[in-house]
Amino acid sequence: MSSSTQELSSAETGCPPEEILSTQEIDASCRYPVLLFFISAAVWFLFSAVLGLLAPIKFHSPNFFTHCPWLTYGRIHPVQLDSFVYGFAAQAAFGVTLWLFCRLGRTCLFAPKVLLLVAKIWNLGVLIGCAGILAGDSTGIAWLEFPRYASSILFAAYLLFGIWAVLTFHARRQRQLFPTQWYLLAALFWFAWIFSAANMLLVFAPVRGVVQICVSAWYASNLLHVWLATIGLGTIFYFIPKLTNRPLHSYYLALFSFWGIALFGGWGFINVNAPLPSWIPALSAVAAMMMILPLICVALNLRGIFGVKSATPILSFIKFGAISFLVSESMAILSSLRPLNKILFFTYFTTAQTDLLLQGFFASVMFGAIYYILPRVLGVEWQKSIRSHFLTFTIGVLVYVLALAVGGIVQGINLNNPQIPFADVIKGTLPFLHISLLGSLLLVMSGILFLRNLLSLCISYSRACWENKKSEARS
Amino acid sequence: MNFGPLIFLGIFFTMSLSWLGLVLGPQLQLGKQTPEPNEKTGQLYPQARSGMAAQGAQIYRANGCFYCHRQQVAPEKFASDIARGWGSRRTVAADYLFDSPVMVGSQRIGPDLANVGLRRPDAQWHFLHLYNPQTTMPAGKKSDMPSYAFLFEERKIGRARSRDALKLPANFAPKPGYEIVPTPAAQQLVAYLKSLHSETPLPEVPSLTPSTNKVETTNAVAATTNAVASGAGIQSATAATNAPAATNNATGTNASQPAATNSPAK
Amino acid sequence: MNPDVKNSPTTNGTEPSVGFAPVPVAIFLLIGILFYLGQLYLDHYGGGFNAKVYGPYDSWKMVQELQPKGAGDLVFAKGKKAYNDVGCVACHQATGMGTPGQFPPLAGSEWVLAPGPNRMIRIVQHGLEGPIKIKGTDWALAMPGGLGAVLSDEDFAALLTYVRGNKEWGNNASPVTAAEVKAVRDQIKARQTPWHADELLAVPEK
Repeated sequence: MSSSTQELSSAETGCPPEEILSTQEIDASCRYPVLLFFISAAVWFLFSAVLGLLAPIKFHSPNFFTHCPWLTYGRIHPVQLDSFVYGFAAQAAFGVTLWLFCRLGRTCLFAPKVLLLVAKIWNLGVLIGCAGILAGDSTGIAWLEFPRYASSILFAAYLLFGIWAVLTFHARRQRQLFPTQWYLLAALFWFAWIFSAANMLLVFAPVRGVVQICVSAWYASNLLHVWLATIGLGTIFYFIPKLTNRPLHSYYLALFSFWGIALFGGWGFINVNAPLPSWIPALSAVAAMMMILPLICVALNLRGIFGVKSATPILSFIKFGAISFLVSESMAILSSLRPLNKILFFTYFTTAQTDLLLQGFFASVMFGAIYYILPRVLGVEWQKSIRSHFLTFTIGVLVYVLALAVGGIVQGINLNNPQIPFADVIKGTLPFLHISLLGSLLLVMSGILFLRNLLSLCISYSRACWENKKSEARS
Repeated sequence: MNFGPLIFLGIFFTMSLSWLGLVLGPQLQLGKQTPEPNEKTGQLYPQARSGMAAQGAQIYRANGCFYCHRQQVAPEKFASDIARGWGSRRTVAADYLFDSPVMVGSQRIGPDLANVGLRRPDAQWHFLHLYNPQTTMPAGKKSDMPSYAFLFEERKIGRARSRDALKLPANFAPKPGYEIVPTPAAQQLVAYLKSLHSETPLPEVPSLTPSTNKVETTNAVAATTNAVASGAGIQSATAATNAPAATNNATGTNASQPAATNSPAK
Repeated sequence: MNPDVKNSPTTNGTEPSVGFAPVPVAIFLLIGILFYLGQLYLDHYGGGFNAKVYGPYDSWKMVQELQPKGAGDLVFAKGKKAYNDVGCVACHQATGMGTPGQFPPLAGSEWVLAPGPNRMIRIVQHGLEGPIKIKGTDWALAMPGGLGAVLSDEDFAALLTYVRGNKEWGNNASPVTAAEVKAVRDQIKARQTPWHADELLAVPEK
């Protein structure tokens, strides 16, 4: 293999498959499952954003809704996080994965009806899970709060989804793999493993004492830094070359970052002072340091694209996501360095870092992908402005993350000074929380705009269908 | 080229690395931990929570208290936890042995609760605080904690005020003829909070200032202190169980001993 | 037509391509360096993978060396624990210096360093209220009572021994015994209210 660019499109590989599918046929095969996944994702995004606005109100007026147990901060907060991860992020990822497997494999979606069922079961699971948390059935484990009856439903739905995605992947006609497929395929297996293993060891047959801390840290870091990261990066590596019309810089760098994340992303980011024998946080810190490697590989691979002017807001979304990934992972690495760990852990800085990863990176990339994919699978154009969504969303994320990051640093420094009473430390963070509320408000608006865009697209799609039918009937 | 099986094996292998290190390793090392006899108190440590407190832990979980309150004390030179009076020593694995789920928390939005049972032994204080955190704040200060009024019941006073009724300050009191009474959930939660303490001295966490006080003792005392020093090695836990009487003696004499041991400097 | 999408026609069939630029040598160098550093880090902070070694202790050897060796050490450790547990530390600080204007110092205070613990036992047992002169400064205090009441005689004595004899604070007064604590506590059993400085001055120092 020379260093020359290799064109992977089926049109240019030597042997054409027996039956060449047109791109329209491929896209059309994904239509309904992908649409259902994306619309559900948009609804959950808005739901989570509204709760994100509601939950902190408790800090500003603690006597708000005191007689409703299910509206207490300790219940709303986990619902907000989990509805984002399992409601929005997972379903957006499902839709994007399916479409990319079809497009890159030049094959039709395998038995799409089953996937419609998967989407329904999954949504049911998330809904039951959220209701369970609000009713007080949370498991008490971060990122895994859904009670066992909800997580079983989710797991069943996921298995079905996974099998269908693998079957679609397996049926590919384009045998040559693009790096994106590595990322997505790995993510498929990963989630099944981490979700089942963590639920098993924490909820169904809990391990003893502090081993639970290890398992839940393992799950959290695998969920955020490995599962979501690989899906997001895989999507970036597909759309960047696609939208800039130039090849992805290096196949090898993409694989390097893939293995780097797989090896080092799941080691917990455990803080130095956790009540664990020192080797565990030490190992975790070493792995966090190693994350510099995949980070540099990603940065090198995307080098050059940041200078490209975005012709469409879709590329802007993807670029914003890529930058957020680099910044957020750097924040995570920095805050696990020993001297900084002492200041930054357990402050709003970690919240800012996580939200930059979830919103700035993952949600942004998914938005870009959805804006690209949906008009193609439906065969109609966007009617509403994507740019207004892009602006409210990115400004919202920036305001929210910056306020919390700076607030977290102030909080951490004050916290380390025992002369400052604790109540004053917390009071010092309030102005930052107020600013972050503004960001939350913008995120709610962006959620509304996103849903509006999707719905208007659906309307124009059904109108087009109806007109088609009419003209058929006439002829 | 078919990368499928290769990818699968690779994923399996890399995935299992973090699983081996962060799940299996700790499980093999710490998963079989059992309470150990404590040389200083002569009792097993840790002890399981009483029924009430154990139920309270579930109230704590259901309402997500751990999203704001941590239950882990950082060591002296690393953080201000101990200087803030949140504990006398860092917390270690043994302190959480009977917790499930382990709710160490991840944010410092409220004070650490690892030792709240020691700091606030008064149940009435907790009831007032949970009912409305503002009631227990000094004048002019405001608490950011939400109220958990739903854990209480407002009811008409019957023949006499109930024994458990909250003694609320005038500006928070219910309308005349009514009283605020904690529900069983509130009782359990407070029992749990009162059961939170991790102050028992453990050999894992000795004082950071190395031993400087040279002890000049009579032979009899020297014998008992030696017993403590050698028993201090935790791996010889069995030796310690066999000699709880000796260790008790040692701690018993400590208090009266230093008069003789520390004074010669003058 | 929506201006946002004018450059992306709905039908775009060609899939992206990928270049095969080699991985820079510097990356391999970096892997080497990171692995080396990681190994050093684990060596230094890993505590030898021992289940009983927690930060800030480096090794099992260090933990063993720090175990209290003599009776005096044990009392001191116990006193320090009581100082933190009971909450003395919240006001008087880990340095014993208090907070200027709010909480008086214990380090170098003539009340602490008195020849005997008679007055101090009373203060810790019941609290202290009103004006008092400490190290030449006038204070108006409201120290809550009952702090020491939860302690056993032994722990109480250890607490006072720790405060009085804390060399880190520059204090070097004689230790206090459980018997002394018990004797004073028996005398003041009936009292409920905090002490005032003038009442305390009437009590013999030793």
